[in-house]
Amino acid sequence: MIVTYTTSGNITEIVVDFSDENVELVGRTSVVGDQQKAEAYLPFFERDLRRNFAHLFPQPEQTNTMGGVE
Amino acid sequence: MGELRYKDSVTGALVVPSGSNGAIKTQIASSAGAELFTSSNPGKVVVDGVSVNITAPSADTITATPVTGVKTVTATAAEIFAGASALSGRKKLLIRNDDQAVRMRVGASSVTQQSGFPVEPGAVVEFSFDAATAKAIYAISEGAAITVEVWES
Repeated sequence: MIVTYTTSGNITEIVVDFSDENVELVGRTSVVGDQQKAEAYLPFFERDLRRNFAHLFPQPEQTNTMGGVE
Repeated sequence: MGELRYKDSVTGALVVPSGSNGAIKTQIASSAGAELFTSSNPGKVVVDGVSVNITAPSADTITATPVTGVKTVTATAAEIFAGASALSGRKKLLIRNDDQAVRMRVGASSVTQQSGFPVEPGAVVEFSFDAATAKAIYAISEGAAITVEVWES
């Protein structure tokens, strides 16, 4: 995930680009505050994007943990 | 069954109700399209005991595919929208506070945990926009991080 911060006045824009994960998704938001505030908010923004656009991300392979019938 | 039409009072052309060229003229037509009441064949329409709703495209009419999403609102004021970024040309923004105890506040970038429009737990707030003018809406939790549901269209 490539993250870019741009601060203008008391607003910091966050741009996250998932192209390095081979996912065509770019998220863009802004927070009130400096880059430090934006960095603190980033994990929530990233989680929301991965949840709302789960269909774009490769799903982990299912493993059978039940053991099955011998 | 007949239908209710709107005619431009100056040109006489059928129009979508918009109020252009003065008052809207109401024309009663048959299902075949013929005007039922004319100056040579006057009639009367009585609307009694019923309600009439006339709907025309307006700023509130949804024309774009809606976007829905789950967002986390924290103690840092952040822009709120449903997708990966604010929907371009949006007309509606609905936010439901899914938390059962924590209130959030919404408003401009000046919103704080003490100021801004309060959205109680379980409540829904709705914003209407001029699609041609992008306006960012910010949200902040009054306490811990909370989950909200968002609709944009």
